[in-house]
Amino acid sequence: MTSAHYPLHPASVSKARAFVAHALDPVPEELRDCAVLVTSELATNAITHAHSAFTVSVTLTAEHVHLAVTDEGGGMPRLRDTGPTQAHGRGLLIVSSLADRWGVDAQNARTSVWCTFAVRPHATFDASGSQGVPVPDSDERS
Amino acid sequence: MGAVDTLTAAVDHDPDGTPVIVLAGQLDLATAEIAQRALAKVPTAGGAAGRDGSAGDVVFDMADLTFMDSSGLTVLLTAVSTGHAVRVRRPTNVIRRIIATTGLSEILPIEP
Repeated sequence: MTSAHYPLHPASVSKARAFVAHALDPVPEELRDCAVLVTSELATNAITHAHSAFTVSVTLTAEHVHLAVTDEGGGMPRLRDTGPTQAHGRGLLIVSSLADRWGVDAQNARTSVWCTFAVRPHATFDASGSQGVPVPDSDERS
Repeated sequence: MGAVDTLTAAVDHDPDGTPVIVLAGQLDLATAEIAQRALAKVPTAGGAAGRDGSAGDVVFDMADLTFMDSSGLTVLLTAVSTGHAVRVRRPTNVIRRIIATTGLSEILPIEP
């Protein structure tokens, strides 16, 4: 596993993306692009909702990419219903549709949103069937 | 430290006068304000395109936009909410997927 810590600052989002892109250099480009996008969403959530610095960790095995973004905000992110033109609230929707599995671990004051991607040599952006795992008992982040 | 995230956003026009916001670089939380400022320069009424009470068409040209996340969707939906008919031009496959997966394909039509 490799991890990096980032301060509460908008510029941290792109730095976290660069970190994950580098860590996932060996995986197919399309999977790397998905993981980088998900990282961007989770880092953005840590800053804008948890108002927290955050840690990004990446684990790469032969079969899976495991990605986690952990903040110290102590809240619980939730998948929101968004109106057709509502400007905000689509970050976790993107995460849930791109990751094979995702979830939230809350421990003490830390909230970790994690997700996994299967490493498939021939994965494409048109592949369907990825499903997010619903988060039980999630509350609105305070 | 990682690469510095930058975005440029210039307002251009198609031959028919439609405003085109040309985006280049990376559009995320840190840079969305740059795109919002470009959007604010596009007239929302009174121009030649402002028929039938709408704010007129606006095109976001993404040929040189290498990255966009939901912060970019927020910019596009701001344009929609101010009455613009928005078109997205030449996005990457990842951006196409973001628009499709969030159910925004109808209000953010993509042109090649």
